[in-house]
Amino acid sequence: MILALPNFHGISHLPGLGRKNVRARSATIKQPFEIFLNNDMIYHYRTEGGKMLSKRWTLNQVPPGERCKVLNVRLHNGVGQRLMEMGMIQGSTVEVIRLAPLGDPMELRLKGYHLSIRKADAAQVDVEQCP
Amino acid sequence: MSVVSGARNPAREVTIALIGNPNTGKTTLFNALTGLSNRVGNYPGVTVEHKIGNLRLSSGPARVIDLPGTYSLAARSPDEMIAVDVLLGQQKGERPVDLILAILDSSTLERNLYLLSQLREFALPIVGSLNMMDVAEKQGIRIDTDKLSKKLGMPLIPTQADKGKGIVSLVLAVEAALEIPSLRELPESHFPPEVVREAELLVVNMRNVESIGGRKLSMVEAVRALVDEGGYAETRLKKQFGQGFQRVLDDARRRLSAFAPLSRLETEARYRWASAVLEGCVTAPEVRVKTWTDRVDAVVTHRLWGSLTLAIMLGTVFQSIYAWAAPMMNGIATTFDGIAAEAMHLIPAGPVQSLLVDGVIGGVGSVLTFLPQIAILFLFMSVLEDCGYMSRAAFLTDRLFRSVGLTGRSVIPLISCFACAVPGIMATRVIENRRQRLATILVAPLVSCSARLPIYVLLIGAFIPAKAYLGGWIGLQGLVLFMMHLVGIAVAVPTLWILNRTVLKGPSTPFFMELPSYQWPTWKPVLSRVYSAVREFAVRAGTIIFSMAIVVWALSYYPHPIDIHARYERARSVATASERDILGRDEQGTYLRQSYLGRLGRVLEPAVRPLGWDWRTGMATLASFPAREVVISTLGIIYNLGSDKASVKESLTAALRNAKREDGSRIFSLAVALSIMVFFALSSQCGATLATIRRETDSFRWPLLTFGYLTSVAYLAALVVYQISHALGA
Repeated sequence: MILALPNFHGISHLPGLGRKNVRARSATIKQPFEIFLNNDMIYHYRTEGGKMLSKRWTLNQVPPGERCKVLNVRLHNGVGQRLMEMGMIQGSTVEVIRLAPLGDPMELRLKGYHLSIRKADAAQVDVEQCP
Repeated sequence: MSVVSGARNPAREVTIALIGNPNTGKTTLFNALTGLSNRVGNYPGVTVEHKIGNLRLSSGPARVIDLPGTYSLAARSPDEMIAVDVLLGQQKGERPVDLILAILDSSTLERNLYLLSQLREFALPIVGSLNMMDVAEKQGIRIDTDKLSKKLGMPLIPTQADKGKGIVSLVLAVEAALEIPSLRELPESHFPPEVVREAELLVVNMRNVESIGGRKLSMVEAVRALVDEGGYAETRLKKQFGQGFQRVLDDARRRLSAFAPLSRLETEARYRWASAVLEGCVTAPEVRVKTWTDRVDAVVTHRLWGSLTLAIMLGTVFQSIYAWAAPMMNGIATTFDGIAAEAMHLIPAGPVQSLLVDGVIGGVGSVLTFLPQIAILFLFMSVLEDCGYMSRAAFLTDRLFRSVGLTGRSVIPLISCFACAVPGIMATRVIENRRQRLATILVAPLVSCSARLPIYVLLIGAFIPAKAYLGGWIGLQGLVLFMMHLVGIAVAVPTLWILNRTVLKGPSTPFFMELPSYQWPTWKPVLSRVYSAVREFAVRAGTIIFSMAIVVWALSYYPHPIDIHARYERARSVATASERDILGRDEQGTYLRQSYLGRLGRVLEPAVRPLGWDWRTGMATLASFPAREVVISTLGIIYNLGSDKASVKESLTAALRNAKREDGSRIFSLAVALSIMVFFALSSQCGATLATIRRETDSFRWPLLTFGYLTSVAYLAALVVYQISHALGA
């Protein structure tokens, strides 16, 4: 289901995003606008005159080689608490090193050590791209 | 503000609790402190083991408890609660702790300080071991130990446990902390005063409430119950104090709703403290230094090279168990044959001789045959785990296992089962999650172990034509062999699916795991782990296998009518030398046929006829219960080929092809062969495996369930295979 989006080509390079599965919340693009992907991941863009200002997404969407800052860890069934105990707390920097050959899990670097985490669990962590 | 005193009753033996994150070299430090004196202990009600050892201090003997490695004291299961219980001195079967020896990984101090901040809240003297200093140095991390020690208010000794550096200073620091009644102020709580007050209220409220076990609520437990929503502390306290506790806890949480979620509060507060403490004491280089770990990982976790390395690694493990153990196993077999021959010389023929030769020596031999395989597997696994490769193997394969509800940690145990399920099941100890460990154990018998190979080879050789396809590249026989290995996996997947929805139903568990720096394995702990695994198997599973072998012997020996022997003696007296050989084998076969086992086989014949079997095959299957390999020699005896393994194989192929019933029709055909192979591929009637499952799951329920379920599946599958292939004209 595609609605007309300005600058679509500007965001089509993001992981997981393709022409087939994007549904924009507002047909007339005001700032900020949100994009829902598979109904649970959120891309949140602030635009000014068509230019993308900030990218905010969940940890599983961060491509290898990029660093990001943890904004929030969603807590349910104890996963979040364990992650936080291991250093995934608000404000800490996380670097995505690589993905496993089959695409999952991801290898991260945080607090000076390497952590392997499944994408489903990483999706509980909201992150912000490091400038 | 309460105070910690180091003074204690000098008459009592000192108890030291060693605790720290996983992968900090804790085991190495423990071994360095306690030498060979350590032994494995087991607290009631938990499956995780801990080690206890002795340390000689200048003040007298001391006990060191090696608690399981953990990142935090927030417990979600009884296993994780042990550390808290031991430190509080309320663990059943354990004495109160006199000193906490915290081991820290110098290269990941910030994360290690999280646990340390929790440990400091106990009213116990605490000494820190700054271990893995070499790793930190290689990463360019500089630590001002004195400054850090002052900031923390506790002695910190730099150590390198694997090289034995700093151990003496560490012991001196421990002695000092114990001897001199030092006064240490308990740190300010990381929680806001409102939370502390609610915890105190909880303790006061529960003081007058009846508790199961008579235990009183401590501050530490109260805090954990408040903070860890749905955690184990809460569950256990509810059980102990009843419904009243639930109410009081909910009220407290409601009043603290402004601070919720408390777990976030705790983690952020503790990490804030950690970075404040490390400020000015630890400097790390701006640009991260590329270490050997990074270099190796670039290959080992690479898309292509990593998968290749993994395949080679797994192949080597599998091959080694299968191939390298073979000469040792043959050696054992030959030795035992020799002993048996000697026994036959020394003891006159009769039940005693048979009991000793076939029962005892055969039984012991079958147990000892497993030992080389177990030793080799555990050697490999200990080395791989120690050097850090295991976590990479789990990382690479996790995606495959996720679809069946397991994690990458199951890869090495399951691959090892291709060689032998017994060490493979013992190896599932690396899987921390109880449910996943159990699931792995329950499907382990489905993996086609090497004991089934002789059966496959025999039947394929006899009944599958030696055709080749694709210009000789793919042989039909090899293909069928390969497919038999897949049969088990094909059944394992739906089995896991069912298990995860019925017996092992539970919340989906997260899977994340640290990828520690690579390090050279230290040989002493590795070898001691191998030794304890072997010893444990020989004693525990060994006794069961041995007793089963005796039972099977008794069933196949008794009754032992003398007139059969008399009949054959008469025939032998008029026979030539070569005929005597044949007569001897005939006699063996006749005895076996009239034994209880033989009669049992005939009674069961109607049950196995739909599978295309006759009573002889059924009987051989029953006899192979203690160890699958026995089926070949049993078939040999039944078909009057004697039990000498070497000569049996070739002649057995011919015998099977030609075996005819009384009415002249062939007993075996391709359809029958397939049904036998499928049955053996799926059934779990190997007594050794069941005994190991019993030992590892500490109950009779699971081996019985495995036996029942898999035997039924095997029966049905063999039935279907036979009926279909028979109908297709095989």
